[in-house]
Amino acid sequence: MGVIGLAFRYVLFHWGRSALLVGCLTIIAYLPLAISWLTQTFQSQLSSRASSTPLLIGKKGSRFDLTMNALYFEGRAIDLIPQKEFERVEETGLARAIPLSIKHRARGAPIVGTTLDYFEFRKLKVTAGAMIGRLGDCLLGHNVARRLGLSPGDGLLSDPDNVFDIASSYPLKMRVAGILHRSFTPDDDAIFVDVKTAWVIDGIGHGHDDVAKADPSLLLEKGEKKVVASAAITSYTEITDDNINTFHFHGDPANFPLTAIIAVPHDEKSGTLLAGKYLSADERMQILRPTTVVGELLGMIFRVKRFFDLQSGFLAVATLLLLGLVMTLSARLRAREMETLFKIGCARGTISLLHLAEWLIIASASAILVGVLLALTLSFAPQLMRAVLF
Amino acid sequence: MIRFDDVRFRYGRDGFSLHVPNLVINNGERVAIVGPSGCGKTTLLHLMAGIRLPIAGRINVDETEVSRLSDSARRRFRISSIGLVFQEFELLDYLTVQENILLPFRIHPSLHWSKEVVERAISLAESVGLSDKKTRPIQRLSQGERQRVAICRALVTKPRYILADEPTGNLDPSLKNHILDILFDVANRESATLVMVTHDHSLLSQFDRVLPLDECTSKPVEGARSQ
Repeated sequence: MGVIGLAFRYVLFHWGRSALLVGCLTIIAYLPLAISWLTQTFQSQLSSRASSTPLLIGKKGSRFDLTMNALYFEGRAIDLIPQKEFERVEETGLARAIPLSIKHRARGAPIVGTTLDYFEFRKLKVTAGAMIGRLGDCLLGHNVARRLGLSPGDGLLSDPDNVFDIASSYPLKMRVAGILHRSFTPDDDAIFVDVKTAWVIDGIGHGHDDVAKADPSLLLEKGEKKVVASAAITSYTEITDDNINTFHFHGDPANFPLTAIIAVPHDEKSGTLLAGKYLSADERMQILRPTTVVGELLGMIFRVKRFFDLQSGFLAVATLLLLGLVMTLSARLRAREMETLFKIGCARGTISLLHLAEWLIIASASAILVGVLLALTLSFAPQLMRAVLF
Repeated sequence: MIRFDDVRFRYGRDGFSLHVPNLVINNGERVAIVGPSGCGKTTLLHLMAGIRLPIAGRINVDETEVSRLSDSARRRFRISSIGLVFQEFELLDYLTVQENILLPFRIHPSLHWSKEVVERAISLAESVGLSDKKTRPIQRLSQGERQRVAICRALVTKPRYILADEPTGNLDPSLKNHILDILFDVANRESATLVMVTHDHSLLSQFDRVLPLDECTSKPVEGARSQ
């Protein structure tokens, strides 16, 4: 145990002071690094998701809300669009249309109603179980499956819209058909169903006992072409092989609601032509390029971040000055000890080395702690970003 | 032998000054330095140890002219030839008894750590009655025990000279003689010369010689005087 050993002993003996210094150094190093790292992660996540989505169509209104809803399944609820808008895109022959219905949640995770095209478009593969096979099936994102501890064959109940509204649609018990592989995108945190299943959760479609064979007391009206049943007739809250044929939809399918449509143009020119079709003044829809919207959003975020960077800089300088003061006071308090070391034959340089070694030990401990915290931050960065920002 | 020839020392330009015309301390002697506070007793010890340098004159310790050595040479000389004992013990509170005794070996590259060195430290601790407290933290020792540790630390390098600056000044009266006995005992065993600054006249009878320093700091010491 030479000078380094002595320094170690001093740091350990005054563990409270050492811990405080390590804490201070860790905070001033960790916070700016973590914020910078998280914003970079946020930027890359937002950008990569946006750049992989060519065009979005939705109701005119906030471009940010439409983008947040359609790309990240988060954000404020937006006005819905009718299913016929999906047909409108398809009919142009300029792009492939992928419908999205994002209204409901199940145990905190968003339920995304879409078609099989979505999985092909996002290159999502099933790692366990199978693809959606029938009405009522769902696919779980990697994180949702892990968080909820569900596996193929299990059931998952959608959250009720409003527990106090007895006239609203019933929650639907979905069958977990499969689990998606991890994609490190918001898809990991979503539950996917066929868009028709989403409409069943909406209450547009439902299944119930055959009214033709039902107890007459449950019928309000029975004519040759029309039968009206009371609410007492058994409605199914789970779609099974036995009752799937009783499920049906009411209303005009052209008006069934969608949140947004992803349009995947065949080429750049097709995309431009398609965008041109939504430019008229009386158009009630908007078409947007997510990269442009996300670029604007990031621009705003980074303008705000510059302000915080400046603040962090001042804070770091102030903390370092305080640490300098602590070092000076510590050196003064230990002047006698150092003088004794000198008197018994220790070189002034060795005494300085002892001081330096103590600070290096504290700095090293801080560096290790910062490394561990950054590793943890990195591993939880996606969840952290989503928790903080959405 | 320690020899001062017309040594002059001054702190700064106009600070305290000391003049020692002639002083000889022979090997194996037990010498006490007495005098009022501020008359230069500690400064005299520091000059002997090479901690401070005179502005004029010569200081020889055995064959070495300490006043002409470079900084690093004086440090080497100090750590190999001088054992210092302080009034306030000056132990490191974050080390154990044994670690404090072995401190010189941790801070000077010319001293080599070995099994024999550790055994010597243990042996010294045992000789002053600290055999069962080798691993004890300094804070858990009494004042007398701390001074015994400080004495062991001064002796661990086998110095030829033990310079003690009021080592009993902070001790209970009942402990003073005990600590002095220990100092005399180890000095005898190690064949070391003992020079001790003290205010306590009741201890003087135990020394071979007493060197009084004059009250006025600007006046020279009147050479070595026997009492």
